[in-house]
Amino acid sequence: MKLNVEAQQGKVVAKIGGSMDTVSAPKFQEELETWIAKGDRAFVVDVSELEYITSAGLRSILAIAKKIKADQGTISFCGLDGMVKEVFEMSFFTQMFPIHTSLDEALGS
Amino acid sequence: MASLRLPAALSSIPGFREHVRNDVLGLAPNADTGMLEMALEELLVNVVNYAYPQGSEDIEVDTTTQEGAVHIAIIDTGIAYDPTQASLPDLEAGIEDRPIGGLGVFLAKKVFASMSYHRAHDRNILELRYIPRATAT
Repeated sequence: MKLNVEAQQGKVVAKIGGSMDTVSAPKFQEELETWIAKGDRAFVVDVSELEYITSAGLRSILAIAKKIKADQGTISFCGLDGMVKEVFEMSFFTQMFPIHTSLDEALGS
Repeated sequence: MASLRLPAALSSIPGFREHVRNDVLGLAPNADTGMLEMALEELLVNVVNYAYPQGSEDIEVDTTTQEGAVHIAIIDTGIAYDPTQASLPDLEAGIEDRPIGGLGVFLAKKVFASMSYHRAHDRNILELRYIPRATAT
């Protein structure tokens, strides 16, 4: 799993690439927790380069989303495609989270 | 029948994925195997995490292709566990209320055309049927 997190236009953009599974997903959770601890509340997760996700990835996302929500923050997603999109739809994550087609759109909202 | 037996460890999962992927691609060279590999991984991770509380033994994955479908059996000698009986997660709940777990088996049930479990000779035998589909482009 590749993970790059940076502040952009007042939001924290986490770009995930590769494979998000049992082994790698906890890293996503740990990294975003450090940003929450620093006081950031607006998060965008860009999954355009994510090729593979399992329920372990969904669990990490949900665990982080619960923390962000508890602090009155926001989390949205962009760049869903292929099996990642299918897994999000099947799990109703597309209903639970705001989904944007592009990073620009996500940053503008 | 092609059979692969590896230790019940997370490090074995790429090998099992490749084993099943090759069977599907032999049957349908243009198949998109991502969902299948995810579904298989969900069931294998459960075995790795729960089947052998005292030390670790092996998992065996057998595959056969038959009438356009791939039949997969996941076999372990661990404690009895029937994933087909797992309860459905609450998909409608909001972020705050939604439980963290339960999605893995749910996803696997959606991907496989059928899933059946039985226990024989102190082994868990989970039989799966998968029908390959073309790339979704």
